[in-house]
Amino acid sequence: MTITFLMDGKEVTAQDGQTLLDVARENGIDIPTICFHEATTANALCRICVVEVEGMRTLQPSCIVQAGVNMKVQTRSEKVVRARKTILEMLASTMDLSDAPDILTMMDDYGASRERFPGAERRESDVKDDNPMYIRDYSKCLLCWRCVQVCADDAQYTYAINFEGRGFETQIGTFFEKSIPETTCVMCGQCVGVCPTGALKPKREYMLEQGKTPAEISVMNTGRKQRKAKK
Amino acid sequence: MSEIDLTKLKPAIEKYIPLGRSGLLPALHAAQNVYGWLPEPVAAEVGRYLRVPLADVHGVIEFYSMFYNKPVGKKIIRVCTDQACALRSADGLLKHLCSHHGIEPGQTTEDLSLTIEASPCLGLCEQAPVALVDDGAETNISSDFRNYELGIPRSIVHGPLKILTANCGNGTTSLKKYGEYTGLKKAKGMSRIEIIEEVKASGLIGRGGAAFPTGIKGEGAERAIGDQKYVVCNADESEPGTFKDRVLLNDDPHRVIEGMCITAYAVGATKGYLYIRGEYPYIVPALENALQEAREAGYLGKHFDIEIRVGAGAYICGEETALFESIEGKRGFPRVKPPFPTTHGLFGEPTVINNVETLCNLPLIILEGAQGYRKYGTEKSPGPKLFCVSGDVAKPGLYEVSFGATMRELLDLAGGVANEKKLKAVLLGGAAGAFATEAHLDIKLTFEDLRAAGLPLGSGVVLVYDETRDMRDALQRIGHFFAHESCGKCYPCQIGTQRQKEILERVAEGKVLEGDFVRLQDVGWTMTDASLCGLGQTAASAVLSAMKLWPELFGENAKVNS
Repeated sequence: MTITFLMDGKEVTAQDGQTLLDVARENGIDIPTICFHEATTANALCRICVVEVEGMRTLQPSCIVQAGVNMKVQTRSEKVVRARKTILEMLASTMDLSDAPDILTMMDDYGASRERFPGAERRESDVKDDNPMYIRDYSKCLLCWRCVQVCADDAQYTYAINFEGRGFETQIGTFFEKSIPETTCVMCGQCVGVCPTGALKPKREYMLEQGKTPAEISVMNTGRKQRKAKK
Repeated sequence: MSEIDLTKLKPAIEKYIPLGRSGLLPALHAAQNVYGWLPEPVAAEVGRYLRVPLADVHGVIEFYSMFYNKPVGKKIIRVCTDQACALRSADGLLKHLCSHHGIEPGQTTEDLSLTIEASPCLGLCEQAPVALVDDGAETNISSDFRNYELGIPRSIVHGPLKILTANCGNGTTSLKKYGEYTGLKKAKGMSRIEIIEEVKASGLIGRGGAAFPTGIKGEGAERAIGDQKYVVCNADESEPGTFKDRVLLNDDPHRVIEGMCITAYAVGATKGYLYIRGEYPYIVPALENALQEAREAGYLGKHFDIEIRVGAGAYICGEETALFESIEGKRGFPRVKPPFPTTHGLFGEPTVINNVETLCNLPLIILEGAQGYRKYGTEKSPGPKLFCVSGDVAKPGLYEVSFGATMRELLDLAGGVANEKKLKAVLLGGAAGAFATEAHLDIKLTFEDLRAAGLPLGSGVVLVYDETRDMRDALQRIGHFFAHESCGKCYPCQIGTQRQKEILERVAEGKVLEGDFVRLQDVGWTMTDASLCGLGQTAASAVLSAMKLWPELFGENAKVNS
């Protein structure tokens, strides 16, 4: 069934069950997203994709709200912009966004200041370098949940990681903070693949950033080159 | 660390093993009872027995304040430092108690005999200051902490009506004293639709805080198609200033159980859960006993039975979908809605979830009929209503009145502001509510009148501050409360409650930075507009109301319009 409704004053059509975000993208209307990913269950938790729907008390997450007949949607109203800008400023006050160019671009787009919250507590964390495949730098984690989701029912059914703490103190973690090799992790790398901020990073990339040369990294690994050299 | 004897675990958690993941919270409670805390090997064994991934077990332990994965004292004292207790020098009490034992709040003595913590509201506000000592309530604590009452707390019940509270004030009412479930008996002579129509006609509105019409919920669940339907009693009363459900559950458990039975019959549910907050452990034996009485009398067991679930220190679990997650053995993260509980509730099945006080109204509605019920209250807010009056009043307690009484009338019943002082403010509806002042005293405490005045009824909290009180202190505590209780799922609330707390701390210390007023407003509005659940959506409600009433507290000139 085809549905017709108004988005930013323009008449748009959607298929039954289509999300507002999907409809917006089809119509060239830009709605920013952070936690949303095609491969994971949408949890509507970053709230950056919220839009104003006439008749609704609160802003609605466009990643999960479905188009409805005669809906009137504003994707960039004053209320929407205030929420997006404030969320971005709060993120910048909390974590290291240096490896998240998409979010930095979003901040420019919404005129969000990185210094909006002076004296704010940040979520600092040491880099966890405990396995040969990837590093975990939770100073850069914005809790999009994607890694936990792909490790569990969205992809791998491995359940190596979950959450620690609660509220602002939440962090992704393992059973009693065990190192990755001590968990059920199978090094599939899917979590690294869906991380939007560089909190999870391939070990090799991390070492290059630390100033190691490819040759040094190769020597450190007893790889094919070494085997060949021995011949 | 001494050797951990894992052989003691299985007998303790045996009965929860068949429940699988849903047995996780009860099993962790049972394990913690045995070991005093949840050491890694114990947590791992619990996970293996219940077939829950270990990372998830750890995630659950980490979520709930009352589960410990580090050693704690044999005795745990939780001193309430929330609104009503703070007005009775709870901070001093906590400090005094800690220094007496040579530790700081949150610490454990070296010999592992004692842990002392500051706690969010313990729901004993009318007997402040209070503490939870292991499973007992310690109330009316004297400033030298030598005098207090310990055990099952008293119930202080006042007011012109004695309907919902008919059996309250004299300890737990046995089934013999409560009498037959005459409301249920009458309901069973009616059709399911007739019961739902009667409840709809009564105009009963949920008393938990969200103010949803109870009949509509029942109708939705009755119509919903599902293999198994559930009735859940939300007894996770945790809104600061609220203690009505504690009194109802402890003193008159059969009224709640009868309400659940009527609901179950009306929607076709065969299984019920009563989820009580972890801070009310002293009520659980009375509830278990009442359920047993009801089973022996044939009200429960055959077509419908009820299981008690005990929370573990998480305000968010009062949010209905977070409560479901908790029963399912998960972290208390609220779900996105829709779908709503009536079609996709507990375990994904059609579920009716109602607050304790709401359920207590049902036997009355069935017995008296909608018209009879409407003798009480107003057209749009029918029925009797319980108000939790605490703080600076002469006679704090639970007050039962008809909807329609004004705030002034209620305060007069409670003997007015204590010590002949003048009124500074009333916190209506709890931390998620709003502040009112003298100017609001003649507003009727109904859903419609309060809504028109821009005030919430919430869970029936009326917390009074006299003229000498520094509202910045109350605000700072509200900020701390929400930062502590945010689940951390959605960004506006996860970070917003933290930033709100930081700014309110500056306000309380008189160290406001330039721009803090607008900063606090932006955070508040963003949480209100964009948060995922009711917690975040109301986390700034009281703060924003205070900014309108007293802009000068936030370093803003009174002339600035807010």
